[in-house]
Amino acid sequence: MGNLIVGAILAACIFFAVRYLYRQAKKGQCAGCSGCKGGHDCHCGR
Amino acid sequence: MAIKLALAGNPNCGKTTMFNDLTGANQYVGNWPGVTVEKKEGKLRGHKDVVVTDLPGIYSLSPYTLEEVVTRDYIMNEHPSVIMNLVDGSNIERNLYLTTQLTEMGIPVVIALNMMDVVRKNGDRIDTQKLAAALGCEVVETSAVKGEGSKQAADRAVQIAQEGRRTLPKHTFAPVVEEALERIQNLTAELVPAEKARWYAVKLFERDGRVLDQLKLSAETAGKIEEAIAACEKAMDDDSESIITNERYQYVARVVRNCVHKNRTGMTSSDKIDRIVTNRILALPIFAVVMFAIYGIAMGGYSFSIGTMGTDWANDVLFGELVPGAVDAFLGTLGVSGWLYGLIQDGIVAGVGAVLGFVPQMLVLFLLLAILEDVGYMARVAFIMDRIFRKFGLSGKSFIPMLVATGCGVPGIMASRTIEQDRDRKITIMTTGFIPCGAKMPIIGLFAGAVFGNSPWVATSAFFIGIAAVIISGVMLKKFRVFAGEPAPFVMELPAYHAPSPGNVLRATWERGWSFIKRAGTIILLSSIILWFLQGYGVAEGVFQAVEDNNDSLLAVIGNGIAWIFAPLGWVGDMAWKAAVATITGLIAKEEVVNTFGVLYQYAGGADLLEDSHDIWAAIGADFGVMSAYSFMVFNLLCAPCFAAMGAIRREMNNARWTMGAIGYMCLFAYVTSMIVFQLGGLITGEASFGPGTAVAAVLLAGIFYLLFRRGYQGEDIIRMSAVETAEVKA
Repeated sequence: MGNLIVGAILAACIFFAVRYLYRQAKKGQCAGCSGCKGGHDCHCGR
Repeated sequence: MAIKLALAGNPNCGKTTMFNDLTGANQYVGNWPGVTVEKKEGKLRGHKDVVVTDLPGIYSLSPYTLEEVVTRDYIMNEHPSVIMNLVDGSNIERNLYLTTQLTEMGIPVVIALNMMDVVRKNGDRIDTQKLAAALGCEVVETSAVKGEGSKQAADRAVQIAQEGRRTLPKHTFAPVVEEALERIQNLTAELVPAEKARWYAVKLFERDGRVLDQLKLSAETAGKIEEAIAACEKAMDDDSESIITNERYQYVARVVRNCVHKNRTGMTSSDKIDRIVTNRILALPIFAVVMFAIYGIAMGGYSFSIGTMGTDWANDVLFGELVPGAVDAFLGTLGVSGWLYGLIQDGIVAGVGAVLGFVPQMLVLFLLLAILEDVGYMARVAFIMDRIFRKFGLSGKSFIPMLVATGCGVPGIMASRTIEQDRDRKITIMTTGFIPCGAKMPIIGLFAGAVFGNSPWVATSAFFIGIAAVIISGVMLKKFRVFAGEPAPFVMELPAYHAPSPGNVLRATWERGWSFIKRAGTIILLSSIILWFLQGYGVAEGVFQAVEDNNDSLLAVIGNGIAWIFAPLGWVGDMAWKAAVATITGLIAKEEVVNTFGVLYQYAGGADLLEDSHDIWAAIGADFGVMSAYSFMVFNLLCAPCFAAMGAIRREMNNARWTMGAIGYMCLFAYVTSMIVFQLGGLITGEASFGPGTAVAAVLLAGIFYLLFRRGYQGEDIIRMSAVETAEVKA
């Protein structure tokens, strides 16, 4: 049971991490890029 | 019908600040079609049918730079309803040059006289009514940084657009020039829109290539226009472009004399500071001291090194006791299996914790760099470096991408777009990666702590090794025909010094820090899981199973397969495969190097290491000597960047061969440098003995000196030789 709970949490973390990286890649941005919200010149987008 | 409001003005006049103020979060950022210049559009707050376009910052509408071409093409082809021309009130003379060009384009212009807070603080006075009368357009006082006047200026611009009022330029040139312009206007009356006739006439007078291509004049018309221009050039004894430039500046000077009243003459506070900071002799030592201080506070081992204090707490307490303890209790309560426990504690917590442990140092570093940038010092650094770079055939313009790269290499590489000359741009792209980015700082922090006793010299030397690598590469590459040529001129506006804005500084710090944390929670998390598996499982006694010693693991097999490549760099013994694997994983993200070491040395040490993560550092310190550690650090600082940066290189080079060449060059340069560091430096520390490695390193060093000091490609030689040959033939 413990394996199941922890495994599910881990699987969720992996899922969200992969989803985030995929979405960033689709936007042409690096992982961790804050996009262009800060008022600074944005250079990460295609 | 939607109203298009275009923001135009010089760089650093506050356009972006005003754009953000006018549009809030309703922005779209992309690229202008077909070019790599950034395009920003947004809806004006409070007006759902008004689109604001932030045009690139330009000094004039000449057709020389991409930004200038993009702006004038937008105005001529997209026909904005109104132009809001931001003019820096504290530098009004330089800014009004562009205004005289904008008012000729047949589009309503409203001047937002910005930075009025600085003007008032200086005690200066601008008569805006006289200014409006002289320029032929409305003037609204604004202070974008304080949020004053932006809305009023935008509302006025929208109103003028709705009324359809045109702006008629009030400036006139010398009579002989006006005569030529009138003649040109008459000759082209049928070819251009009436409201833009003046603009086209001036451009034709200047022999603007893009306008000539656009109008496709008949030979007869072109001939008559050329006659008019030639007559004027003869009368004024100057070329047409210079005539117009001089005339504009004379007009602007007259306007400024009548409308602007300066409180004081002589040097400003910024000028006085710059006399010292950009002094020929003192500039570089001051810069070195500033960088040493920054790295000392962020990553040093002194009593004031608050970054190191934070990291020590994060490593020893947070990820050394609290987090592992809490995870242990949680997993113990749930009774998870041993392998799952190992994955989470030894893989994820160890790996991610190793990287997150550096967050305090990173935050302090980012904070100090943000303060330097906000105060205005970083602009001076580009100016200082131009003086040095120029001696080696490079331009200070190449240093600006490198300043950006201290945060992240990707925007640094993309910032090379501002360099017009293709050869200099390529050199900049190839060398920007040498400057340590934020992701490489944990590598420096790890070795500074594990091997060098938290000495700030490690980080400082890494930064200046990066700059030295740029200069050496620039000098060597410039000697080749494909890169040879004079560096581009570098003109840069130095903004006035001002107290750092807490909001700007904290926002910039938080953005970069949060970016670091997001990468740890995604890339590092996933990599930790994969690494834990690869280094925890292998073939033992012919059976694939969990292994006690990670020297028997799959990862060790892979690592040992490539470790021999790095043996000349001093990566030998048990740590060789670990160092090789860490370098390879660093291609995913440079923080991976630290993550890899965290997982490998955590597991190697067993559960006891959880009690004090400094034992991981001690284990690393035991495996690496001083020179092998420095060689490892140098290699990872200079070699191929992460995949994201490689992608940026690919996009900017737009050519697979050049991309491979750039990455190959970085790897080769890193390898040669690291080898020289270990083989020759190791003779001093005793880590290397005199042998074939020493000889090869000495030859490589001699090779570098040769490439630095050889004559290189000289384009003029061919012409001189031809002249000599021709003379000999004639004789």
